[in-house]
Amino acid sequence: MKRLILTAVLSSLMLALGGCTHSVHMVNTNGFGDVMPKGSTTQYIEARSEQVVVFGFVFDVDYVDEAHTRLLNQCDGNIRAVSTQFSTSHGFLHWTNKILMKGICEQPSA
Amino acid sequence: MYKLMLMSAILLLGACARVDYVQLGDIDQSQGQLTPISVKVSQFAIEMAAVAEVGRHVATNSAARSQSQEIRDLLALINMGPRTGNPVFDDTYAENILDQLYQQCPSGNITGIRNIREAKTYGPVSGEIVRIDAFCIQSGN
Repeated sequence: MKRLILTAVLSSLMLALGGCTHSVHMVNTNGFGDVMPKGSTTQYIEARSEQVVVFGFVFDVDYVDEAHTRLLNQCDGNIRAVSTQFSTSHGFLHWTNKILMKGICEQPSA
Repeated sequence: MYKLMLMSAILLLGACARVDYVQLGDIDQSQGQLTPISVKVSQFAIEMAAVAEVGRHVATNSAARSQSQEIRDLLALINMGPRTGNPVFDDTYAENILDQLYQQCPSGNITGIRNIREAKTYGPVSGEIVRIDAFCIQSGN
């Protein structure tokens, strides 16, 4: 009985500490070529997408393209300073791959 | 006690650095003077299954050893998935790296970007690091 309680307490502690873990695989930034033009309007844009993997079975293989399309759809001007983050959130017998793309949308003032 | 001291010594001596990923961008030296800038964000990480495994080796009786093994197996099941280094508890720590770059170089004229994913490791514990080194171009205009 004592052993059972100890295992339960230790498992709960470990679950609380390790039950929701993530791994950031890569962060890449690019596109800082020129000085920001004066008179232009800028705003941060971002796009996220996910891929759920259960027992190693993959359900959405286009998630990177989806994030890319969402980013493009938010700006019809120049997208600069683009950063891309690829990470994974771990789970019970499954995991979620995540893509985050951020950038600065720059448009000439009317 | 002897086992615990031995394991601690191994963990301390085993502290080292790890590089997972490096990418270098274009370097433009024609526009003006280059000033080095650097942004580094990090997050505490721990491999709980490895801690349980250490506990299994350190345990003096078979019941404790068995418990550690059960916990290790349970943690492996609830934290499945690909990983780079040890798992962290917050995956948003590198999301504001763009803002930090602009704080160091407000003109946004940045070249020679080196994207680095690395870590400082101490056995099952590590600091998972995302670092961006670059040059801010001082055009003088």
